[in-house]
Amino acid sequence: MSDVPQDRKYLPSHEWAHSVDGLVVVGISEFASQELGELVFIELPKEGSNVQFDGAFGEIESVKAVSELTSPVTGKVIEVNQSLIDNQQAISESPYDKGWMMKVEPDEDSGIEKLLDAAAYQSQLSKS
Amino acid sequence: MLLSKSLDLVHCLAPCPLSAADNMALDDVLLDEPGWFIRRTRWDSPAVTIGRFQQWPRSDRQDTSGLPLLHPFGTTPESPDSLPTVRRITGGGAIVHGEDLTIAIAGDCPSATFPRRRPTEIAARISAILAGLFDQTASSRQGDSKESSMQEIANCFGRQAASDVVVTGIDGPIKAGGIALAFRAGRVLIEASLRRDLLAADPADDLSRLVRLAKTLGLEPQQWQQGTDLLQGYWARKISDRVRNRFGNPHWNRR
Repeated sequence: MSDVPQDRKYLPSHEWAHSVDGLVVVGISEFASQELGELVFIELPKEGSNVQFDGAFGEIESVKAVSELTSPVTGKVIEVNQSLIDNQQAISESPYDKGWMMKVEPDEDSGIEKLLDAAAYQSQLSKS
Repeated sequence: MLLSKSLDLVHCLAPCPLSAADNMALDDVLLDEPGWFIRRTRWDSPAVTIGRFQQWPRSDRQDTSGLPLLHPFGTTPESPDSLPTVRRITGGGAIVHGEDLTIAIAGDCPSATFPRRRPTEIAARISAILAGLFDQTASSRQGDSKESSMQEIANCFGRQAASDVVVTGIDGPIKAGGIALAFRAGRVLIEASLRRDLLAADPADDLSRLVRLAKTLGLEPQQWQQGTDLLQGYWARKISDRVRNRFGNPHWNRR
């Protein structure tokens, strides 16, 4: 069974959001990284750009398969984890820590309240 | 009383030969449209498609590319031998099209047909079905493969993947087909290229093979929509938009 930290919220498409010091840190769950398999490329948004709740914020290629990444929050991208460009394996090895993808300054209407809590996300995983 | 499970209908598309940009735009549209689609792709001239994140292949490096001269679709070629090249939305390596059998499938994922969004699982399943559509010498490579080590090889048919369709050669398996995928908003697009020469894939049998593929996936094929009709109106506008914004744009193709 995949690890599902209790301190963050989730999209059904397996992206997580973690509120820290007024910013929302975003990544993908351990389950998602396991499903994707061996990762080879990632494209993340530019710092300073805006992302929309439930909109695409980047793409990730596991071998032969490109998957769109969906933002769990609306806001401005403050920081992107550039180290992932050369080391996508951090996402597989440490999806909730070193594998974070972007930090977002959330808008007032960020959409984050629509996310699943850990229990609901875990329940979704147990049905899949 | 037993209730039979209703099958998902699949729209069967066999448009006329299109440019590389139009073909990739149509696949992109199918990924966003609701419902299931299976299509045969034909090319109005030889062309190359490259993977979503693939580096622009260097034609001067025959050892790693094995490709002809290329130019981004939407630019003027420097040589008459150069082939227009479009970047796909799916992963994988470069493919020379024109004499291959190119197909695409688009539909929901997760779904009854593809319960998990697991690329290797989906690709392996499609590979096994495709191999079964041809003569008995074709099979799916399967097994473990360190596919990331293949990224430096530009040509898809120079790479090895567990999802390859292979035929037996004197020196071992020969790649006869490759598969690439894209996932977006609960949908999956699967593109496959199969070498007609190695699989004895007569074009006259294409549509019946695709019907068998759809049925094996548990889908109920509708009547084939063929020729130019399906590219009118609604479809034409969608394709045109995506060609203008992406697949016909040299910056997208040679980024």
